[in-house]
Order: sequence, then C-alpha cells, then structure tokens
Amino acid sequence: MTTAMVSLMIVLLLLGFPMLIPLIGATMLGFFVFFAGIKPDIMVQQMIEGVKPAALIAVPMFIFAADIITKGHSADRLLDLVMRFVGHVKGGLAVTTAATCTLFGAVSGSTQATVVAIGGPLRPKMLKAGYKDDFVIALTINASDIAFLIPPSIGMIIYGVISGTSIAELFIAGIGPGLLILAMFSAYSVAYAVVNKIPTTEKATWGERFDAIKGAIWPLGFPVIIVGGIYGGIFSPTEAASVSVLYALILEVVVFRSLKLREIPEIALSTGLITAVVFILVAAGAAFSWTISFAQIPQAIIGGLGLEESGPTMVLIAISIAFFIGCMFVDPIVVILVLVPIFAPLVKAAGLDPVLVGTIIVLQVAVGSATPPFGCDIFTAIAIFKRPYFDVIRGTPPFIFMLLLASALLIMFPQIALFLRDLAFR
Amino acid sequence: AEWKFAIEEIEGSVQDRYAQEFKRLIEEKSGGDITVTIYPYGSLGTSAALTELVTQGAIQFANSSPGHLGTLVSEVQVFSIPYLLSQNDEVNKKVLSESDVIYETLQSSFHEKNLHLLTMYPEGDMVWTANKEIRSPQDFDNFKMRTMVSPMLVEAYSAFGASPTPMPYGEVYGGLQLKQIDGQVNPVFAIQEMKFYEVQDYMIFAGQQEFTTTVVTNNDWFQNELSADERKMVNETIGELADYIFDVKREFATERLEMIKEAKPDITIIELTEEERAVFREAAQRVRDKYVEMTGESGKMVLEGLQADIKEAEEEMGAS
Amino acid sequence: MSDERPAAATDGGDGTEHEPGQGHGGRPRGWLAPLSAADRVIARVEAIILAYGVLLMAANSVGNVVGRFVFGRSLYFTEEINQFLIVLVTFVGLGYAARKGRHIRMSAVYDQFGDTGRKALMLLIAGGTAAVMFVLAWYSWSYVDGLARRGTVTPSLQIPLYLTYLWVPVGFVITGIQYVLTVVRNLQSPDVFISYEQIDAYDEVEETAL
Ligand code: NA
Ligand code: NA
Repeated sequence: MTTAMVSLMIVLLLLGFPMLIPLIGATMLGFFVFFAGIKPDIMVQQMIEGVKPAALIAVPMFIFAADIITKGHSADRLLDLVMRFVGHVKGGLAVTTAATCTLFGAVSGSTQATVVAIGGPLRPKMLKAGYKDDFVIALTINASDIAFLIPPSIGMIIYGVISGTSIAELFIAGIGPGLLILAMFSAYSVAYAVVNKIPTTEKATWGERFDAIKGAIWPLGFPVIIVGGIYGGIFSPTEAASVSVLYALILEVVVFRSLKLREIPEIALSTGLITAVVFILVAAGAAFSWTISFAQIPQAIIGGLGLEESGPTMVLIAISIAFFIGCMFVDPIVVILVLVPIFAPLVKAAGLDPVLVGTIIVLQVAVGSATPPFGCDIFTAIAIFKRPYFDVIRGTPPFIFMLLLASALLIMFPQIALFLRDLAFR
Repeated sequence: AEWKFAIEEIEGSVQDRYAQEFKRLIEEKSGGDITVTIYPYGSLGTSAALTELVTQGAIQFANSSPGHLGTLVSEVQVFSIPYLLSQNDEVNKKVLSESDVIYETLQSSFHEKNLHLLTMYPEGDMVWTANKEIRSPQDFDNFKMRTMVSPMLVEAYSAFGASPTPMPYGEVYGGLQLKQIDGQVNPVFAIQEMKFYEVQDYMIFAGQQEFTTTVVTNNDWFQNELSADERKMVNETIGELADYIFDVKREFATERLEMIKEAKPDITIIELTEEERAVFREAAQRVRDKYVEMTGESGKMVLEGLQADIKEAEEEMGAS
Repeated sequence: MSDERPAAATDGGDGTEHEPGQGHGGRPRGWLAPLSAADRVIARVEAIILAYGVLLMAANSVGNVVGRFVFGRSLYFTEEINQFLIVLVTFVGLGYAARKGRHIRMSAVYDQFGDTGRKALMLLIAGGTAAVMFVLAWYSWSYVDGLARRGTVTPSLQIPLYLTYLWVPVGFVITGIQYVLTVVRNLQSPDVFISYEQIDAYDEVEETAL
C-alpha cells in the first residue's frame, strides 16, 4: 500500500498536476482500493478539520499585514533604515534578513507567517542589492524555520504533552541550537556575498541614519506592539497577527495616507487568494496523513527496522531520519503526534534525555518543512513570490546541508541544547 | 476481525488504560479471532472527528467526552452542570455505570445518531489552577478563566463570578505563562500532562465537577453486524471494566498529584470546605435552567431523572 | 531577465494587469458567450467573498482582543467564526485560484516538453483535476448531507454545523468547472492555457482584482 501510494504521488507530481492532486490522489487510492467499505466522506471531513486549528488564522493575518505595509510606505521606511545601518557591510542585508526572520518567527511562532511577513518586503530589496533570487528565497524559508526552535513553539508544546516532558525546559533547550543555526546561516550569507561580489552601498553618515530612524519611527511600532502585546499578556501570538493588521491599516490609511480605505478590499482579495492556495494543500495534507495513520503505516515501517537493541546514538539518528522524511510529506504537528509515541519505548530503553530528543525532533521538523516535495514553507513561498516550484527550491541544498550539519553537531554535542537548560533548571 | 478503538488522550492516560484492558480482554475471550487496534490522541483527528468516524462506521469504538459530544447529542451536556454528581465516589460509580436514565432515556438520543452508548466513566475531579487563592465568587472577580467552548460552561463560570475565556487547548500553557488568562480548569492528570503547574501557583479542589467520558460504538454495527455472542462478549467486558477503571482513576488522582508536588514542591493545594462549596453550588443553580432551555423537554427528563437517581443512590449508600 | 524581476505578492504596477475575466484569449464567441457572462458574475462573487472573508477575520479577532483586554469579556464565538471564515476562504478560493491559474504545481518536468507535448499534458492535467474535483464535490455533498441529518451543531453558537460547510461542495464544483473550461480552451486555441483565462507562462500571471 505504501509503495502504491508513494509511486502514484511521485508520478502525478512529476507530470505537473497541481500539488493538491498528488496528495488527494494518494488518499483516494487508500480509500477506494485499500480500505474499501469505509465512507470516502471522511476524506472531506479530514480536509476541513485540517484548516480549522485556531493557530492557522495567523497565516492569512500576517499575509494581510505584510501586503498592506508593502503597498503602503511602512515597509520601505523600515528597509531604508536597515540599509543605512548594514548596507555597507558585506552580506549585511542577508544577515539582517536571517536575523529578522529568526526574531519574527520566534515571536509569531509561525514559519509560514514569517516567510510572508519578512520575505515579502525584504526580497525586492535584496534582489535590487544584487543577491540572486534562489539564494534570497532559500534564505527566507530556512531562516523562518528557526522559529520552530525558539520559544514560543507549538511544536515543542505538542512534543512536551505527548512525551510528558517539561515544556519550560524544552523552550530553553531550543535556544542554543536556534542561535547556532542562525550563526551558520549568517556565516554562509557573508561568504555568499564575498564570493558573488555583491556590491555594498556607501556607508551612511550618522545624520542620514538619524533621518532614517525618524522616518521609520511609526513602523518601528510593529515589533514593539507585537512583542509588547504578547509578553504583556494582552494577546496571544495568534491574535498578534490580527492586531498587526489593525496597526498596518492605521499607519498606511491614517498616518501616512499612502492607501485609501477603498483600496483595502483589493489587498484583502490578494491575501485571500494566497491563503486559499496554501490552505488547500494543508487540507489535502491532513486527509493524506489521516490515511497514513489509519493504515498504521509508520508503525509498520519503524517496527520493521529492528532498533530495539541499538545504542542511544543510533536511536537519535533513526529519529532524525524518520522526522525529517515525515515532515517532507506531512504537516509537522501531525508528524509529532504520530511518531513520538512510536519512538517512545526506544527512547526510554536507550536512556535518552527527553529534552534532547525533543530538541532534535523539532529541529528535524524545521528542516523537513523547508524540504521538497511537500514542505509547507515551500508552498507558502511559491504562493507569495509567484515563482515556479523549481525556482523556489533551487537555492535550498546548502541550507539543508547546514541544517543536517547542525543536527549532527547536536547529536554529538548535546550540550548545545542542554547547557542553558542545565543552567536554569539543574 | 480488527476492531478499531480511538481515544481522546495520549498513551498512558486513563482512557488508554481502559482501551488497553478492553483490548486484552476481548483478544483473550475471542481466542485471537478479534484484534483491537488503539489509536491515541491526534492520530485520527479531534474529539468531534472521532465521534463522526464512529457514526460513519470507519472505526468501531471511541471515547467521547460530553463537552464535545454535546454538539451531536445535546442532552449529554447534563454532565457539564456543576455540582450535579455526588461528592461521593461510590455513588457516582453506581450512577454512571447503571442509571436507567443514562442507559435508557439518554441512550435513545444516542441511537437517533446511530451511536450506542456502551459506558460512562469518570476520570477525576476538575481542578482549578490559579496564581491566587480562590475560595469565593468574589475571588473570581475580574479573573479570566479558560474553559472549553460550550455555552453551559460559559454560564457556569459567569455564575461563579469569573470571566470565562475560551482558548485552544494547545495555547493554554503560553496563555497562563504570559498572563493572558489567569487560570484554567482540568482534571489533575491533564494539569500534570500539560505542565500547567509549571506556570501556576495554586490548585483548588472545589468538587464542582467530575470529568466524565463515554465509550460509544456504531449502533448499526453493534446491533446488526455483530453476532449475539460477540455482542454479549462486549457487554460483559464493559461490565467487568467498571470497577477496574474506577481504581485506575483513583490511582491517577493520587499519583499525578504526587508527581506535581514533586516537580513543584511550593505549589499550594487548596481543598474548599463544605461551606465554601455551598456558595458556589448555590451560584451554579442557574446553569440547570440554562441546560433545560438548551435541550428542551428531553433534557429536562434526563436532568430530573439523574437528580433522582443520584439522590436515591446517596440515600442507599448512606452518603449525602 | 525574468529571474531578477521583483515579484512580491503585492506587485501590481509592472504592466501585467488585465481586465478581470477577460484574459489573454479575448472574449469567447458563439455558444460559450452566455456561459462566460455567468462565469464573470461568479468570479466577482468569489472575489468579494475572499476579500470580505479576510477582512472579517481581522475584525473578528481584533474584536475579541479588545473585548477581553478592555472590557474583560471574551467573545466566546470568535474561534468558531474564524473557523467558518477560514473554511469559506479556502474552498471558495480553491475555485478562484483555479480560475487565475495560481495553484501550486511542480512544472520542472512539464517545462521540458515542446508546445505539443505541453498541450497534451495540460489536457491530461486539467481533465484529471476536474474529475478529482467532481469526485470530491460528490463526497463533500454526502458529508455535509450526513451532518445535516445527524443535526450536529457548532459548540458555542449552537448553529447547524452543515451550514458552515456548504461552501465545500460548492467550491469543488466551481473548481471542477474551471478545469473543464481549461480543457475546452486548450482544445479551441493554439496556445497552452493553464486556466480558462490564463495562458501558461509564469511571468504573465494576472493580478487579482475586485
Ligand atoms: Na517560535
Ligand atoms: Na511538511
């Protein structure tokens, strides 16, 4: 059954069918051939359930806010400010992009929202500065995925619940690896800028910088409101997205008068279209993963590996591979829900620290989400940037390599994750 | 044959223990002819989805808690009424596993939806957590209490003097940590599993509600496709599990509370006195009216019948 | 240099805009004309639903924040309304995205073929996708019908759940029709069309318009 489903998916994918079709086609194969007698209505039920989780609402809201500030003045003013400070540094803009994605992702908790909110406005600037599009897109997607590691992280909460691990400890343990990856991406960005001779702009004077700060003072309210609102207990990270829509409207319509109120529905339409394009794949992915769970395919595959007698390192490697592959096809949360209990006995037998295991799992989830063919961030990037599938993934390999290197380092030196945890809790 | 049993909780939970024991007994009694596959939380969808899977016949058994099941069988929301069940465990055990109101009156509402109610069992007291002491409705003033989404619970916590605040379960930990909400209510095992105690200082036992769950099966399958022997085997097994799960519940209540105390020794545990409970009980009377308003004549019958059954059982057992 | 063209989601002024509903092939003639007029009306309705769906999501969520933080009262139905809106936007948008040729696909292999090969593949893709959409429309109708029969309600507003899902079968039917129209257009015209109104080319993606 697994072979038939995977083959069908690959064929439909390569023929160029809309991505919805490989996912639904494989699901239908499961329903019509392998579990005949079960009502196919359930496919539809699962598709609808797939888009209903409350946290998903942040995605269209951040898309909307980013659309508004890009059409208006805020985005330009913020970018102008960034350029005045880092434009003269080799790779400065790329490092800024990576750091901004990490920060925004850390706060919003949504990698897809980060791709939209940061990638949308920054990409044109980077292209103008001379970076190649494949690098820009890959950097945005992968830096956004660091969001999974830095708290608050929904992936860590789910893992904590399923495995009975302290969520507070997991949150702290994610910070080290998150920063390590950011450092790797930054180093690569600088190297990329040097090798490709990306021109720098002239160093701005402090007077010019001060002007830029003055120009960006209102838009600088975004991070203040989002971070302040969340940590001040006024709204949840999910709600922060909607609040930033409100703030964007106030800035562009009232303060800068760059947009007229009647132009807003048009922007909302563009947001709605992108949302639909991404969410229909979330829906199809939910139906597909239900089929996989129902048929108990992960249990069968992992049970067949015979890992019961292997040592801790082998178990960690097996976990990494399983989660990495799972997240290439299916929504990360579902992968955590399904695979964590299957691995639980192995983790226990190998005497592994559940916090370390959680960090490694969440890291793999981050890698998998940015990895073809079905990584959810890739869909988002295609919808936002309107580039063909292959253009979007072309720049990915160096990033995947760095992320895998980070995974290997984490397995070899668990202190990268556990150092801060031990400092805080032991 | 393979029977599929989906639970709403993770592996190692109360529901999992029930399902595992059910699996063991059925597989043993059927001499291996029947295997039971258990699907834990999240693998086949949300609670509401699981119930639908049973009505559609995709799976044979599922746990379904009244909070979710109420969207399909509205009368079952009677179990969301505060201070309805007894403060005596044995009374509740008798009522939940034997009451004619549940297995006849309420059962007919299940049958209308192609569901058959096999059993109900309690999973433990619903406990309040907070960062302040709560002993009276005044203490709940301006207190954002996270509850499940249900008009009954909104009514209940408004009646208690709190400000009921819905929030998705997965966001509760963060909401408590960042003080977006002030407290939440859940059974002890959930507070332990979800680590809410890490970000809360008080656990308050007010005895207002026992967290109950149902085990449902597809009625059509159960009545028409199973042989009489198989049906008998299921009913017998369910009967044997009533005592078993009660002990598991008690074990969880103590063990999980110990785990919390061990992980956070400075957590304050408050047991409200009879007098303090009486104030909340009085305040919650209006929730019964809300229930009748929502469910009409059939709900009224269920409520009155249950109240009578509980009273009778209390008198019989000499509890009050 | 198409690679270098800044094409953020919101770009609108780079000369690729067209009249909505007109497309590259011009207005259809003959027996398709009345159908096409009806289709334009549907397109407009879809656009309005998408735009106001998104606006309502924002208003609804902000309303809950204000209610909770300023007045200490949560709008207990916010989550339910947002779920309704997200289902609405996803499934109505499914058809709208098909119309605009915006569904995500992996075209790497497909792009290697010549015009005839791509045309043949596009006929297969559009025809196959239409078939899958109609199958899903059938089962979603059956699902929604089942919900209506069982009388499932939503948890907080206690309104019939099936009413909030009616868009799902409608969305699948509209999408199926869009892909049938794509087959028709590809049979009529020498060019390769990715949707009834969109010619197959990445750099000429039409902007959305209300
Ligand atoms: Na995060
Ligand atoms: Na993925």
